[in-house]
Amino acid sequence: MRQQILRFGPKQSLTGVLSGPEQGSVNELTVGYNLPVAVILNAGVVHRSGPFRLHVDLAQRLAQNGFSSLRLDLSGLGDSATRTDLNEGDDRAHLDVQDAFAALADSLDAKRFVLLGLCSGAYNAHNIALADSRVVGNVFLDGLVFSTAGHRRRVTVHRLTSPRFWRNATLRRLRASEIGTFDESAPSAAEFFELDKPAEVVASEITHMLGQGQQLLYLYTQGCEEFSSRHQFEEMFGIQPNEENLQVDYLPNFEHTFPLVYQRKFVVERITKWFERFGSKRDHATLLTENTAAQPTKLRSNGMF
Amino acid sequence: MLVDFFGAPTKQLLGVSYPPRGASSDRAILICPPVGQEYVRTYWALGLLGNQLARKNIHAMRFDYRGHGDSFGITNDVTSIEDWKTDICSAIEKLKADSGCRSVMLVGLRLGACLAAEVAAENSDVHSLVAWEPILQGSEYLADLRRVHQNMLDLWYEPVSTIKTEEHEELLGSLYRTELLSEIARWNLQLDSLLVPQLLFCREGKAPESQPAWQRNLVIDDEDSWKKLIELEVAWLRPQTTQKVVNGIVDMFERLEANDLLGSSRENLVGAGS
Repeated sequence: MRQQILRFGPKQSLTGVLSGPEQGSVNELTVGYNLPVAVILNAGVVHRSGPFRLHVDLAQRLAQNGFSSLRLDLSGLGDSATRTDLNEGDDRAHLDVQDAFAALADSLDAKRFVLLGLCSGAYNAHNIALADSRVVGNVFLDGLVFSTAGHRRRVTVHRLTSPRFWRNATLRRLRASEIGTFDESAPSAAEFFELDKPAEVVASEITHMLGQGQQLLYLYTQGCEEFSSRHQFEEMFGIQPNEENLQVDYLPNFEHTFPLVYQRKFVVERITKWFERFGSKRDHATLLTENTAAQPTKLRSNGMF
Repeated sequence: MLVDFFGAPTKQLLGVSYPPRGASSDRAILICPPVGQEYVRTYWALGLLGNQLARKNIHAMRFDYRGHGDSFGITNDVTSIEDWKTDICSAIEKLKADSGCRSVMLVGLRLGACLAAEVAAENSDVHSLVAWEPILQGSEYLADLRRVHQNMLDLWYEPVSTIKTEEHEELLGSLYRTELLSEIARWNLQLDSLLVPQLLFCREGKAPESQPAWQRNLVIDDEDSWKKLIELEVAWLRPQTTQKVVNGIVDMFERLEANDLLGSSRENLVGAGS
């Protein structure tokens, strides 16, 4: 994987790491075939490499499959400076990503993007994708979620039938001095960002994105706490997932930030596999064979690509 | 602030430089972060430290070790602490080149302090050391990590296990080679034989027992949050202690300059004024 720093935004004050396939590989050719660039947003306040280096793992696997990616620090996070050009009502993340898109267009001649985000990153990705037709896909990890009657019933049933639930509750009390005391009043992962719209509005927005031709992948973990079954997606939004442009997975026994190596590997592979809809290694090899004389789209090379 | 990669093309390390805000400075500091999940928790805090040092007209730089952040490699490829010490030495070269300084101060936090101490003992381009909550006993440090890891697994929704073989062990999100962990377990931080001026920031009762004349210890009263599972993903921010560290560093530079110890032979240290 090749990497370089991308500086963008007002006075080049925003920072990201641009990753891509190794030079000379067959995948390099695909840059000229207008593959979307993956743009990975911050998860909470964790800087661009992601919780437990999730974003780096993603960038690595995507690069192996021919996709370039930018993992960036939104303004005020990681190594990006705070924006000083905000007006009242401006969406800071939206402006940051617009600047990122412009920089990627300039350096890679990129015209299409896939947004990836965990938790607040998913929330930001949702709002950005709504308003930008260059976004052709989104991966939402523990994104927007609303409690439903079905969820509350499943939680109740689980508590009544799971000895381990009560075992863990007891263990937390017994080891409180060692573990620390969980603050029950603290917001759960799903409450990390202030959701300012009801489920019905979000549903119409999802429908709009699908109507724009965007490919959507929703992955929810048990660690999200407010989501407990794949069925909940339809309960929340009245939209049935499918295997084509609206995939939804529920990952039981997975934690919100993927601290376990095998779970991180699983989700990276899941996302990488999903990315194949935008082009695959097999397609790339075929393109190379059939189009040896083809000229890819002109690249404004910055020395990397 | 300048973010860039440095080092050999296939072994790129990420560095973040905080140039001095005032006139050119002959004061340069390399910040050596902790390792593993502690690296993530302290990223923000060490960025704030870098910015505050720059405001004091000090050229500061922080970096990611191999297997961390945006630097090359994975933790599983690290076979010895010598790998991370090599990374520190590479970062020192970059800092010297960027700042024009002939020698640097190392500021290390947690295991970063121990790595910094080892490099300081071997690298004559290091004129002083600041150790912030250094790990005194590697075995105790690993035991703490393993306890937090086990608590995490014990409280998982359903039973779950992580990698633990003769060759590898998974600890709090990272996979390590057992040979590296064995090396860390044998670690005992010995600062009294390290002939560079030292400034330590330790909690009450956590400072090394023997204190040579060229070591100053300042007590900090921060809560020990490294061992608690609930703090595993909480950003570690200590604004008051950070200010104390910055002030201590500025004071240390003034003493070093007053005693002509910046870039001097280490034999000059013994007998120099305090």
